[in-house]
Amino acid sequence: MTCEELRLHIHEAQDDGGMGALPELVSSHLATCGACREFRNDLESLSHALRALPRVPLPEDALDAIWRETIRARPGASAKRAGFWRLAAAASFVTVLSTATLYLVFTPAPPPGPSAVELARASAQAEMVFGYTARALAATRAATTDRILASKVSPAVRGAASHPSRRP
Amino acid sequence: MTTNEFEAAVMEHKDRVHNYARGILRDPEDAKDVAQECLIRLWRHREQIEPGTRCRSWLLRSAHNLCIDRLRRRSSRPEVVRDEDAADPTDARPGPERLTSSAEVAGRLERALLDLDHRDRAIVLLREVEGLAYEEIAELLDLKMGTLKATLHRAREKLRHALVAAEVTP
Repeated sequence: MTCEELRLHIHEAQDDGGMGALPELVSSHLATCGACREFRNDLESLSHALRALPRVPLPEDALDAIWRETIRARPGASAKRAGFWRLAAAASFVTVLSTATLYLVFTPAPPPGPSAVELARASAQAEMVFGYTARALAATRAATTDRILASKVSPAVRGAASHPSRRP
Repeated sequence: MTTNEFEAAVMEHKDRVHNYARGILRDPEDAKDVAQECLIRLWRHREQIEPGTRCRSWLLRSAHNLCIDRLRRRSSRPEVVRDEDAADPTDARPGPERLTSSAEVAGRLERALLDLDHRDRAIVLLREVEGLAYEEIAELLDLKMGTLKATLHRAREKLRHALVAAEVTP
């Protein structure tokens, strides 16, 4: 087996998880070939060095952006916010209603208006007063007319004026 | 996938996805964007993911596709390294007193990874860093098993040569 062929086996041994169990053919070659031993050691060290490469954590601002774009933006979160505002609106409505009720309950009531009987009585009194006044005015007018006629008009005319039905 | 499972998946895989994207893109800002977009995609596709399933492969596939999209967009201009962790490319002749710390080895290794084709780099990262099984990688990158293994062997050889050339024992 040439060194080239053997190195393929070494690669495959590493692919299978390490150099722990090399085939007998490879082990015997390695025992006599310093270059292939060095190759095997290099390959093993390379694998370790690759695994030991520094790991850089994802920056916090990127992680924040991920949460913002994903779970913090999910519909459940907005529903929670909407629920909060609905609750706040309901609380405000209840507060306004309670205040209005308390205002109505504790504000002194205005004096009651006149009853129907009192209104009827007042109306009758008003009619009586108006009737009396009208009759008094009519009597005054008639008396005034008679007095004027007595002083200014002749008895014949006065008689005609006093009895208009007798006019021709 | 439930909301709790999503949160757990993000916390478990966010750094893995971020580092994979960094490994492929070699640009911290782009890698951050890819990781962010990838995890947001997981949320948008959560209905398609069975509850209780591990979503590592799904996330890495998504991250890989996003990285490829970015590389294609970049293809008109040369790949620019903005990774602060990468080693200084002008410093190619280290003395024996240098490159002794693991940080220096890591810097050289990252430079060597950068010299790989992005598909080879993806295979190395998925296999050696993330520890995915060959079947997973083959499915994720849409490769035949033989091609995958041959590519991995070749990529390992390139990395080994690069480190040996830089007088670094990996």
